[in-house]
Amino acid sequence: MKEELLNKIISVAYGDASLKDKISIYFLAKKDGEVKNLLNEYKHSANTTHNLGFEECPDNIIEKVTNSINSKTVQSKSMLTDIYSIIFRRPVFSGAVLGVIIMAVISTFIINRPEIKQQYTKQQIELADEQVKQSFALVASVLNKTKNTVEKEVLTDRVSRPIKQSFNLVNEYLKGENKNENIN
Amino acid sequence: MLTDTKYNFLVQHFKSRIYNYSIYLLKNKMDAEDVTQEVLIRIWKNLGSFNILAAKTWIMKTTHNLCLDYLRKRKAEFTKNPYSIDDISDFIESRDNENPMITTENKFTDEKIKNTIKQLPDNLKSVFVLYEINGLKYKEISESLEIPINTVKVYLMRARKQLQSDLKKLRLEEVA
Repeated sequence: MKEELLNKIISVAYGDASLKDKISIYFLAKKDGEVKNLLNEYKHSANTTHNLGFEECPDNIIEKVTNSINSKTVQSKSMLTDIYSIIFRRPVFSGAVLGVIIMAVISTFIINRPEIKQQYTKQQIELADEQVKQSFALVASVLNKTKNTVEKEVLTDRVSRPIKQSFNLVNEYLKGENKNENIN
Repeated sequence: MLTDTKYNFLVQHFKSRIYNYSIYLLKNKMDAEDVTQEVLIRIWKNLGSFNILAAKTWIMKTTHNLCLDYLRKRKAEFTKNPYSIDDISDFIESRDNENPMITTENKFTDEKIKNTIKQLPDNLKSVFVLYEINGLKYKEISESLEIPINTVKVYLMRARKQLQSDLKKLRLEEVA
């Protein structure tokens, strides 16, 4: 018998062959007595092997081990040490924890934008108040000067005087005409 | 607290697998008990250094290496003193199981198979026991024994054939 066929029969008997092999061997076993016998023999061994089960580990071993461990580690590890060993010693867990922390920080910044609160000292406020007053005083003096200039120089010299002169001229002209009419 | 829970889980889950594998490899209950004890202590000591998901491979690898150490030690002792008490007791144990009064009974088929598996060469036996009895996958066996997956498959097939041939011989001897 070919080695390949024998291997297939064994795999089918032990239950780890592909479906295709199972079907082909099933049909071959129906036709060929030798294949059938081999398959049954291997199946018997496989079933017995799979049903062997475990021999139970004696309890005294566990007791010995527990005693040995307890004597070696009298100071038991704390909960924090346990958490540290489980989480931070594993790169995957560390990465995941880091990711969660980063996400939490970012979302906190997005949701609760911090308000800019500026606090000044009393002296600074007084100084600022003084400066504002000074600047207002400057502006007021400039405006007063402008008002005086407009009232005294611009209006009197440049506006009212030429108007007065022009009215005088018109009056004189009108007076001259009246004189001529009276003579006539 | 968490360490204890993790350790207890591993012990409950693997103690019998470790013990069983050691018995098949060492063919001696005393040595198997020693190996199991040593492996369980090593699990406790190295609990933080391996991932619980990869525990199966780590534990079986440690068990296998310890068994090989025991076999090497035994071989060295045998060379020094070929008639040591340990070997005689092993011999008596193995002969007891080959007693025709016991083996001819059908109800002892399990014992027959177990003994036949124990007689397989160590490399074939390791793969066979891990796959067929301990239920490890090809990849897990490959990692535990540090051999390529293809070698695992080849060893497994050879082990099945040899087991069949040994059982056949045994049956013929019984009939004769």
